[in-house]
Amino acid sequence: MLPLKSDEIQVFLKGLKLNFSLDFTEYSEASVHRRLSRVCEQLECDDLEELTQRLESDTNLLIEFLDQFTVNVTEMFRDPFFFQKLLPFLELEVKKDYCIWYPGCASGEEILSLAILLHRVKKLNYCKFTGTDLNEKVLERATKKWVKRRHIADYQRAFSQVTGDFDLLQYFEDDHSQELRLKKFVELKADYEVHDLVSLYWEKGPFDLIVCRNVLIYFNKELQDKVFSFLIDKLKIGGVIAFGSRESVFFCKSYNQLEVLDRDARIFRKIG
Amino acid sequence: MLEYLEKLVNKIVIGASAGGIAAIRTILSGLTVLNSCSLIIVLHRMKNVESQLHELFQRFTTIPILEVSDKMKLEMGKIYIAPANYHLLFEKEGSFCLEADYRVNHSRPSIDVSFESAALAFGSSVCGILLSGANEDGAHGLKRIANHGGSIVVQEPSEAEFSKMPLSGLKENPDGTIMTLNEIINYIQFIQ
Ligand SMILES: C[S@@+](CC[C@H](N)C(=O)[O-])C[C@H]1O[C@@H](n2cnc3c(N)ncnc32)[C@H](O)[C@@H]1O
Repeated sequence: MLPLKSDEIQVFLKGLKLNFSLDFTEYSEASVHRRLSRVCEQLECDDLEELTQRLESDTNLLIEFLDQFTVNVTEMFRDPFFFQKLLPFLELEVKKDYCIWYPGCASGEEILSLAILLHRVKKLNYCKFTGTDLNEKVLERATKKWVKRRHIADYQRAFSQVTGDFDLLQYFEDDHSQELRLKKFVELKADYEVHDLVSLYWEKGPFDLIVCRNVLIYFNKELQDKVFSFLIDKLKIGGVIAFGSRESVFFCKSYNQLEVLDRDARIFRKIG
Repeated sequence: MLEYLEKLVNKIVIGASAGGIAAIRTILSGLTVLNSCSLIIVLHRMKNVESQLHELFQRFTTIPILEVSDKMKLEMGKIYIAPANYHLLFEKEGSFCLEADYRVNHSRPSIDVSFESAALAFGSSVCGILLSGANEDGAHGLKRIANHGGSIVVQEPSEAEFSKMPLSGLKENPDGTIMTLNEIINYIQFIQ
């Protein structure tokens, strides 16, 4: 890992904010350090100064930079127990025009997971999903409703942990390529758009369900607090919100607007 | 041992893989107090298993053991376990940060990632200890700890249930101190 200095990182992040309106200044420092040194290695820059110069002279590089800087790792049925805990609430509550927001959805595998589960309990046709992310490259992939063949064995295992059923492939078109596509009979209505949570603004909403897992962990505490409040604002009263299983949402200011539905799975309801 | 005292180690990061649960059990059973340092355990574990490792380990010591959640503060006198499926990083001001990134050395948490981050955040106040394991995770991270002035310890390979990890640790760090589990216990008690 390329060693970078704290003050160099700060200068670099300020430059990004000023020149490209991308604000990572309140991201977790440890994580930013690790990401930036990896980006430098991948783009073959010796230091952040060189990276800045290249970003300034080649505007196409920005998308590439964002793609590598953001951590877009996702999978189907990550934390099977989370889906197990969420599903009973949805079975009871989903009704016509149920709006679901997935901020930081990356390439969308979690949306496909939930769609399949909702399809199985005959609730999917009531739901409309919106997936957003900062990284337009991963979102483009999300619109394709693809999953990678090489991961399917893992996904099947996780799927069977959630449902007791091993046959995940019944939901995917298999044309023997590297990608498997969600079958049409799973009628998933989903829009995907670029949105930056740091902006703390969006014209859409409010939603019945917001699932924001493993996104806030990249922010420092102050930013977590702000984005957390923003998400709660975008939730209908009585709506449900969920976070990643090791996220510390209990200390956020707006936490008192929530009631705990499942503490370990970090599932809450907005009561005020 | 004196040399360690001078370095004022107050954060001990233990990395372990196959054979690690038993080794850590031995260490925890031998510890009586942990006053002026925190102990962080990064253990390779099964994916998507909601395992209650901290509760298992708690049976062997009265020192409080916590499973890390994001942004948790590091406190003296406590033992922390890295949660499954995240990389465990450290912030300079003394808190944890979790990352849901790609596996490193086929592992998440990766010992290399945690060692490197501890080196960057805490410099000479860190001691990295590498125990039993059947892969090479951690060797590189130990080197980073040493480069930043920290102390490094490797479990005596002949004692480790799986010697590959300690051996690769020593290969990359020929100057690393070799200790048996008992010596590691004494060392941790000694730096109080
Ligand atoms: C580790 S992925 C989480 C994916 C998925 N929710 C899961 O848990 O499997 C984190 C995602 O957050 C996105 N992200 C990071 N900063 C963001 C921001 N300011 N606004 C919106 N999305 C952001 C990244 O691009 C990345 O796709």
